[in-house]
Amino acid sequence: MIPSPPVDRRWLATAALSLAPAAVHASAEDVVGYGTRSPAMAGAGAASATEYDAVYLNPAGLVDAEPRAMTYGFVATHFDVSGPERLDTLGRPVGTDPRIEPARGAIIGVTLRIPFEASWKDRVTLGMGFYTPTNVVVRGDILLPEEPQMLLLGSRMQSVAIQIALGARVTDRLSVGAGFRALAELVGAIHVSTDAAGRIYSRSDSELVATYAPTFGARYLLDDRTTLGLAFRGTLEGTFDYDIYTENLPLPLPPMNVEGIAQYDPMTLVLEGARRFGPLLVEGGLAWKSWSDYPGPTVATTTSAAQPPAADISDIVVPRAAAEWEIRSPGASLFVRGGLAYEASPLGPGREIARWYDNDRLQIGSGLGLAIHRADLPPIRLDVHEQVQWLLPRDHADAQSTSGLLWSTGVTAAVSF
Amino acid sequence: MRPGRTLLAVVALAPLSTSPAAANPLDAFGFGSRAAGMASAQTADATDFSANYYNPAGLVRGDELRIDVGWFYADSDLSLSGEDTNVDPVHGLVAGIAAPGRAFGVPIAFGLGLHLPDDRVSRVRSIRQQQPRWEMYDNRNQRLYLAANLAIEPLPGLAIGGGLAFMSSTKGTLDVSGEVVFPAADESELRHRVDADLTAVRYPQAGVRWAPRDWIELGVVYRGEFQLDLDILASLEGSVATERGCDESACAVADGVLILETHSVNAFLPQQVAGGVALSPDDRTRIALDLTWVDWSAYRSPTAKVFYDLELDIHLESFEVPPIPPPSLVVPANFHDTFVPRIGAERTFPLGRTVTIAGRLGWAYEPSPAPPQTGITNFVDADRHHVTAGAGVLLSGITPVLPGPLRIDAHAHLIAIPEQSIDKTDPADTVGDYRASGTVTSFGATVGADF
Repeated sequence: MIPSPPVDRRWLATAALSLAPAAVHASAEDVVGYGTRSPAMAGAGAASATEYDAVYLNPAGLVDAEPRAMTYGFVATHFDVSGPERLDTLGRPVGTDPRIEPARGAIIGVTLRIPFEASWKDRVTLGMGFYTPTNVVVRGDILLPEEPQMLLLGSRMQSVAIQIALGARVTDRLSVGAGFRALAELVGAIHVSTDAAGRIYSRSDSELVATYAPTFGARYLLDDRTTLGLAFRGTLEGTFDYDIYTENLPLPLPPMNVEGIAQYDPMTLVLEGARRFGPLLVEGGLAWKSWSDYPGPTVATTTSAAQPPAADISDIVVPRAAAEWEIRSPGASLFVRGGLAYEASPLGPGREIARWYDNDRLQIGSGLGLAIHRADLPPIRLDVHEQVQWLLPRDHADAQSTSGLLWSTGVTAAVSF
Repeated sequence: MRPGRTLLAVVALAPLSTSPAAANPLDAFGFGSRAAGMASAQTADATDFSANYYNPAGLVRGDELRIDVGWFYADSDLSLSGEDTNVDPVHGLVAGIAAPGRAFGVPIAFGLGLHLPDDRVSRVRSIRQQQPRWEMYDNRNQRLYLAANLAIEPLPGLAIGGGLAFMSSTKGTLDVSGEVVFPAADESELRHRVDADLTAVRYPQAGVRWAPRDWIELGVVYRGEFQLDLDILASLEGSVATERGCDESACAVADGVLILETHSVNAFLPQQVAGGVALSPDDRTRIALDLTWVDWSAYRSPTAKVFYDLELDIHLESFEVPPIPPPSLVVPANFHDTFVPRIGAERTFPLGRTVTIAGRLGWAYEPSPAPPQTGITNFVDADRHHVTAGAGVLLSGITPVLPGPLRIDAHAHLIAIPEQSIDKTDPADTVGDYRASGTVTSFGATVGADF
């Protein structure tokens, strides 16, 4: 085994040791939920989501969606996280603000019931759900292991979501769904050399390659008031893999393999139950996330370089509980929502050789929804959410501590046509 | 070991930008079998998922939800002086939705169009300008097309539609730290850090359709331009060792700076304006004509511009570094605008109550935007003819599950590039004179249902 190179203190200072968003980069929907209803319910919805958001939460729920509807909205997430002291280029402390960029993006959702006739009538619905960050499709920050970084937050929110699914009603009680989530990863190479005239030129060959993760779901109505939802989401991984080759330059350089995981959502299995008590819907369940399959954020750059340290990461189970109260009036319904979840950190404490930090998170969601169903208007729906996640204080093995807050705010409007 | 003796190599690729390839595969091969069979003369004709590309206003012309999915394959037989240039085939999925409805009493429609190559979302190649390449077919068609549109019919007969097409580029910064060993570079120990973004690129498209009479429809569509830069800045700072470990005798450079910078343009898509007319002289005949202006004069050479600099504080007298070579000079592409005429026709033949078949023909002439390649550049291209043919079958009432007909369409498409000679003005040109010719053939099928 090749030992890790010693840490250069000057490098640590000059590299602006901020507590930075870092390499795992999972998705916004994995962190706060998808849409506006689910974040208001702390990520719950596998048993109750019946609109475009079911493409992520449980495609089986699409069977109860509006036959033809479009949703558009906006979601923003802000961070207030404190961690290890950040140094300037002369090694002077400049504060503990981690400068994790806010994540902002648009939500687009579509549901289309396929108007089959006869025995297939009202049984199949197509759903599409997109989340497009304001500027990026995927962000990948791959830092040196000794640089302090919030491995599971920050940049992981900066990722597009492309989700398409079909829901089908099998019986009056059972519905199933299947779909996929898609992402792009980058594979390429740059060659720099000199031509026959002795002049420098470069040539590149880069490919964006689509990666897919399957989504499956099932819903079962135990009785008129109780629903069970089971959803499976496969691992969604996007890599950044770029090779650099130089030839005939005054200073020869080795081939460099610049590779890392730009985006990673773990395989997830969700089991939730929902029960209605008159106007009140109560939902709760567990989500298992297979973080132990995570291969680590980066690899060795050259053949003679040491391998980066392995990530100390393990599976987790996330409990969730949520409620939705419906207040009906002629022509409109108002929904009041709330939820609570506790997501333990899958990551071990930060170490000197791998300053990868993460915290247990307590998620508190709240939100409102307004559904207008007047005869002179097409069905219209407005939803807003506010979710706060408390990053519980944590001490790490390198004598550092991290804590903070995350706020997510969103609004969507839907119209049926 | 002193800190200064540890090589600190920092390579910054900023912004590293790669992108989908240089233009639009739908321009070259069509979108969907019905449209391709009519040589893409669809500005005033398309009402199915293909309207997402040809004219989004057409989405609101239909009455039913229409879902289509298909596959196509395009292969090139392009040669230079008789040698096959091995241009990669293009093949992949086409799919789309046209979902009309009503909101607030007005007809509206939503559409989604997708062309997804089987092998990749996109590919970018930046090669030397001297290297001959089929500029329009070598790589430009290896890319995704994804667009979402809305359409509205505010007045009877008048439809307006528009939307966005989505692409992605990459920008990033790369830092590499470690130890470079000179001249045994393979013994170097380097580590990297990356800050890379796949950034969203959106470009607009909008169109209008007007049907003044039942037998005639007019259309105009605009498709926006986009281009993506490939800018690479590499800077290395630190020391260089003549042996691994950089001890007192082996550390040749204590502090050095190497800068490597390249700039190139990829994925250039010229803006276009297409006007079209669709005629229905009788219930079974459809004739469509298009004329498209393509702003190729805005085209920029895809060749990378390179800058390289090296500053070394040499400690070891025996350590010598060769002089820095000059960068290559990029010659402008000097493309010019083109007008592309297209004509397509469709004739349907009812066979009983439940089956209707259709035959289609099309022709287009695409002038080359590239000037004669008499200098050092070799953007090989030529005027070309497109000849297309297609057939379709419409099956009604085949199953009680489907409320509307099932459509099955197929097409074949031939692009013929007559032989041309490329004669260099400089007898000492490193490439020399050569001949270019070839054909591109494509075929595909689409299955769709109306609900």
